[in-house]
Amino acid sequence: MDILQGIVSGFSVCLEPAKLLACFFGVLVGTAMGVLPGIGPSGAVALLIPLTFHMDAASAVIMIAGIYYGTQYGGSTTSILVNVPGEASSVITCIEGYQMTRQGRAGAALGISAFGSFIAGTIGVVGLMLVSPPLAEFALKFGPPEIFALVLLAFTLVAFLSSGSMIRSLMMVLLGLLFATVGQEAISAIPRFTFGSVDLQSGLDLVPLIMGLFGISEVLLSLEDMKHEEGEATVRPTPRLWDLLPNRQDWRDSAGPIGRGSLIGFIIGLLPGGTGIIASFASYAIEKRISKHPERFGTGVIEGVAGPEAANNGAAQGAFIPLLTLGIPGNAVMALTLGALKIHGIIPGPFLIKEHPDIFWGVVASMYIGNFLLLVLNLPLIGMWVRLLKVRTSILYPMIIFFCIIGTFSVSNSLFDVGALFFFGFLGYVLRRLNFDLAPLILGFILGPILETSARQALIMSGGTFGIFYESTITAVLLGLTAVVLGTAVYSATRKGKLSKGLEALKKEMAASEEKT
Amino acid sequence: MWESWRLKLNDIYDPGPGFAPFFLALSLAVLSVLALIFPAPQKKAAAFWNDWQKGQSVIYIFVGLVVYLCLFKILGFYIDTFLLMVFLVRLSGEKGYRLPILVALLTVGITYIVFHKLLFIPFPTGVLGI
Repeated sequence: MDILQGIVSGFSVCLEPAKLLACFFGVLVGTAMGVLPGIGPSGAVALLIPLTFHMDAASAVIMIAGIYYGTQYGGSTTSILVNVPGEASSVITCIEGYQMTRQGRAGAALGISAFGSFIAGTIGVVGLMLVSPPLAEFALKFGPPEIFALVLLAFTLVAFLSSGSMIRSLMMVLLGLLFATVGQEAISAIPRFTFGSVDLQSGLDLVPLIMGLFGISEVLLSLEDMKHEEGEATVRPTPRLWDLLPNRQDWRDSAGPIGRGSLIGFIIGLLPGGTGIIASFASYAIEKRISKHPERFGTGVIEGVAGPEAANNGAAQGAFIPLLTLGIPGNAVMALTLGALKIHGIIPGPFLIKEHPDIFWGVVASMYIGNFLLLVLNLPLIGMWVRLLKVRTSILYPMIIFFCIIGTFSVSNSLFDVGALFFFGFLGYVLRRLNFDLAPLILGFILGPILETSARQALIMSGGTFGIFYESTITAVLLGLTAVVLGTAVYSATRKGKLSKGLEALKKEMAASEEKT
Repeated sequence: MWESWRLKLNDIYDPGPGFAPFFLALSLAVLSVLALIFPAPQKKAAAFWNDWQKGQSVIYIFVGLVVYLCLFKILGFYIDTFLLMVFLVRLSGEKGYRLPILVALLTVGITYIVFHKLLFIPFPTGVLGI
């Protein structure tokens, strides 16, 4: 099936009423979740994942994709209007966006953010459409040693690019890998760390783990800080629909940043660990660096809204490529998507495009429709999203805990899993309070079995010789890249070069912004 | 690490079931020591230990959830969840009982209609048969 045929069949899949409804619901609820401070894309997807269990796999991924880019969209609305970032990747939008609001230019900021996100989303979808099939074709050459090397590189990149220190991120990867070893071992079926419990025989379930780490811990953190936040946000008058259209000068100033932001976002999204937050910060830094008037940044320049907004949406689209073609999730949301697909018995990877073209092309086509829906849906609803900020947290937070409980229980009908949900909720709370990033833990948990099984299969294939890990060119390149990333990390830690200083500054800013969210 | 050791490590050419967890745990221990030696500036982390009273409500929620889990089979899903919701709404800053009870009743009622009546997902009933 060539690309044109694929996209036509994709549209025929996603224009089915059920898929269209899933897409609509995803972008709508995603935007609402993005508006609410504290609930980021991973939290939103984790909370809503149980809804996908009663859908077919294609509708499930279409809905998750909608939630993902919907949260990116929603987060920027409150950043611009009330200086409250709905999620981490919109923090940078506060800087210029809120200043524009104070100058009475909220409409232009919101408009360029919506159009920029739409353009970036569309560019991202075209990239996804063009890059994925050849990459999947190439990935067919991957055997156990190559998969092992790829997962190893993914872990290293995730740790390198995460907002905290690399040591702490690697610790989280290892913790995730250790959780993944609970239950029967894949090759010999010997139970590990079950301590006689029948519930642990099949291993720890993904649903309580993600809902606990992201859903419950989010509420606990928010409840703790609730008293400090009260009365901080002042809701400002929302602009009228016709104020949202940027003028000719705005478009002239924003065209370049949107183009660059889309490209930067897409490329960063492709990398394991590359998230919207990195993309938006990188785009802002680049726009400021190349601007003819960098001194005006911070006072409400439209380039500082257009670039980062395009970048975080571009990253959201790009992130689907490694998942759908290699089966490697690059960030927490993609790990959750992988989990949802696994629940439906579908393993993403090189064979996905051939074996389940409806899912792959359906998701690609749904992104076109989703981006369009976001544009037409969100501009008129801006006033409603701002009013949503007034929902009492005393009702919202207990409801989130309730959704986590019911989501977990309805999947397995197991009280043990509800206990596991609470355990992971408190573990997540403690880890986040200690500034540990949870995304590497999820990736470790999901990719752990793949890493262990591929390593052992490779050793069985080679009769116990390690040569198998560097004999093939692909493995050698992947392991070489892993060594380069590790080397760069050690270099940054020991010598303060220009690159390491830049990276450190970016990481510090990201950590500070995550704290702010 | 002890449990992994007990599961048998074998050797690197023919790893046993305890091999991977043992070395994962060992690496985690090494990294933990490194994290202690090279601590990143962690304002929030320091606050966690110095200002733990701020997390008092978190401890109450923890206790509440453990009690919820213990009473689940005795009271059944609906009554237990109703009580949990009243507790959580009150703990989240709501004064009085009218709103917490209303929220809890609506939550349980909607769950009953959606899950029990529409989706046919049965939830455990307790000693009262509800």
